[in-house]
Amino acid sequence: MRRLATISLLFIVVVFVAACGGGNGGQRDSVAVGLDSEPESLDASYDTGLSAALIDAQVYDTLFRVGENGQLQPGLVQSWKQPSPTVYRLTLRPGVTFHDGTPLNAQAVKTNLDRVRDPKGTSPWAGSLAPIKTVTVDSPTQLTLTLSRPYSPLPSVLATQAGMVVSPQAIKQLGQKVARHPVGTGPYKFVRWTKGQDVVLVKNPAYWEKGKPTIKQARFAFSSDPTTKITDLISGRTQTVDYVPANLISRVKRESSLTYKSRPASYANVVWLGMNTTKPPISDPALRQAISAAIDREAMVKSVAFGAASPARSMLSPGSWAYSDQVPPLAYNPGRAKQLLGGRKATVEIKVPPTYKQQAQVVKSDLAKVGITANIVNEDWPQLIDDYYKGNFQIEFQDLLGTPLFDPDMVLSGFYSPKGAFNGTGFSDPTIQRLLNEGTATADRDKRKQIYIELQKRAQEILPTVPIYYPDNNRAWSTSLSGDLLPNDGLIRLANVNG
Amino acid sequence: MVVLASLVLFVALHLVPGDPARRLLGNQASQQQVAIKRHELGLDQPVLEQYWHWLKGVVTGDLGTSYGGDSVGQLVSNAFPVTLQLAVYALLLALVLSVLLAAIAVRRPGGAVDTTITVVSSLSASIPSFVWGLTFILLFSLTVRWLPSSGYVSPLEDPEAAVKSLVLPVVALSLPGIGTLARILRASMLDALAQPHAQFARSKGLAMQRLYLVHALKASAVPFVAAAGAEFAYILGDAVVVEYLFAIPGMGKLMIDSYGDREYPIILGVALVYTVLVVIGTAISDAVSSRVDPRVREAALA
Repeated sequence: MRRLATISLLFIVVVFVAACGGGNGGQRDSVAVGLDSEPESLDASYDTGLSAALIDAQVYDTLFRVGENGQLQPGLVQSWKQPSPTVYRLTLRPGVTFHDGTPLNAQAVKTNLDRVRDPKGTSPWAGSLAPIKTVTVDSPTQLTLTLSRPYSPLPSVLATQAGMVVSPQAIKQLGQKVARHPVGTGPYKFVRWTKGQDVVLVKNPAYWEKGKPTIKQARFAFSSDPTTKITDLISGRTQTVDYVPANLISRVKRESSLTYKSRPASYANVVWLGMNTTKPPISDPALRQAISAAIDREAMVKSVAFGAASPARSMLSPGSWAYSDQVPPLAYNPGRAKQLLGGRKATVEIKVPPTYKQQAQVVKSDLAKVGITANIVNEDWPQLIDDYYKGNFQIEFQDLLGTPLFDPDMVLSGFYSPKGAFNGTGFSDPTIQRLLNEGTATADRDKRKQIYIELQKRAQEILPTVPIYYPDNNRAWSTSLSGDLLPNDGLIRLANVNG
Repeated sequence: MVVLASLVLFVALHLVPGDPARRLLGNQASQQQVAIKRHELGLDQPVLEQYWHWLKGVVTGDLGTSYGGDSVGQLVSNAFPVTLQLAVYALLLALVLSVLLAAIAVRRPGGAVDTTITVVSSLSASIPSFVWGLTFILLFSLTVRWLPSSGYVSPLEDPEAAVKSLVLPVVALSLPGIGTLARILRASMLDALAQPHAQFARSKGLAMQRLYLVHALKASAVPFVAAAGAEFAYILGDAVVVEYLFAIPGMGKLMIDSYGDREYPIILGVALVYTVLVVIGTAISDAVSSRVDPRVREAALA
């Protein structure tokens, strides 16, 4: 008996030691990126969300690019002319091929733009390309976009997923399955997607940007939640992550094997309250203003956002070129809130996703101080989003994170235009609509900025959405990596990273 | 029975708030596009009609297509071996170690070794496997960094990496089982040893090894096998959480992810396989019981 026990124990120890042995050494020719969500699709024309945007950025190229300061740069479009406000002539970069060997030409671009614009289709980007009337192929490398109205955001729109080019041959051969087998022209080629686990990419040796990429293999690993994701980063299973959640920043900073960097939110990074403007009691703008004035944003940023954020004054984030100090902060003013309520007591219901439970408790206690009773209803994200677009809510805690919406109009029209992509509040306002139209009809950026400042001020008066705070962009990566790991738009482009 | 269960689940899932089409298209899509997608996915048909359509597929061995466009049969058959491995390894580990612990404990009941084993097995039985899992990640992945904190590698691909990826989740899954089974086995072995026939064998001078391993163990086999069968069902249940914790792409994780995505066809497919698995587990445990105990066999025949 004793011998049996000894042998068994010995066996277990041997297996354990064997399992723990081994190690990895040598130079880094592969990189693993940890994400805490898995994309629904990798068909750039149809997908949205941070995880899809991150992987798309490796597999596809965009027609235009947007640089660090928001300036337009050539992408697959090498040069362009605008003979009139409603006509764009694009010249494509010659000699670019898709991962399946077919050439990138004007016809391929037309196929993609028409696919996104298809009124019977379900591309979430259709709305942003709606001003395009026709796409004409002039030569294999030249095409003309004719618009139904002047629309100055167009090139920036074509720097998002709306302007990514999927191989027409893959679309034809795979149909909807292209969502599982993305084929683009980007620096990395798709290898496999193991659902629930990872997406593996390999370097595209024929990539048109000379000398890029340098890392041979890329893996995007899906963790169950943000904590697991950071555990994997610290233990060395991944070398970087999509973002570091605020509550784990101090943990990550302690690691000498990791570089941590943070920068203010760019483009569209905002946590906000959606207000149902179509139904009482929230249809009353005075109540919405009272709610906004009752929230102590500074305190919230310090406590639940761990200081890794800044108080919001608009739906535009500090990284956007139309963000301005001329738009006043949404100040904490419980006295004004009480004044706006005029002695009334109000009861409201706030629907809250798991991500913002703590924040909602802070809002609840802030509101209680001015005499507003808030009932918190917890919902998971799919239910919350569904309720939002069906108008089945009073107030909802929401965020806009990760998607680089380069042009301010993509955010502002999205929230404030009656047909806007993010307008679940049932909101419309003639003044704001006029300013939106003026903004897109104006080409000069300084003039546009003035228009958008006026618009943001007007939005503060009626508040269909109440901006709360701007989460910073936080990322950590293995010290073995170098290059641009935290660009302005928050997306990692592995072509700009070295191992 | 299985059909009834699947009908209840099907209807219940369709009552869950949250629209799969909206989930698929994301925040930026218009309500009109969501309606187009709903039609495309057949979600605009009456629930019973959708169920009938699904059931017809299942009967012909087709689990259907997920809303995202994947074959559910393919997804489930990718995830199934992973969960099965986890559960079977955990059960085997629990069986081996609990027999070992119980056999050591009953040598001197009430002695220091027995007391220690009792304390240890109570502890391991009363702490849930996800707590073990979290503790292991903290110890072995973050502090000493011997073993990966997450992920799964197939043994066919890279045996060494596979063992590494499975050690922590398998041990975490088996610990509650080890405690429970060891305690049950210890108690019933002590019972068996107190029986007159065991006393008699002992007084006759039968070797202790033989007494413990053959007579006491065999007499304890029936409650032990029944408990092991139940333990398998528990392990399968715990595996859902453990797979999630270690990001192992098994059926549990597939099911949780699918709930978040409102992927009803996948949830139904996984639930169907789980049901069948538990039924098979119970059947095996019954078969083993009837093999070791003629009374059970006769009762089954009667």
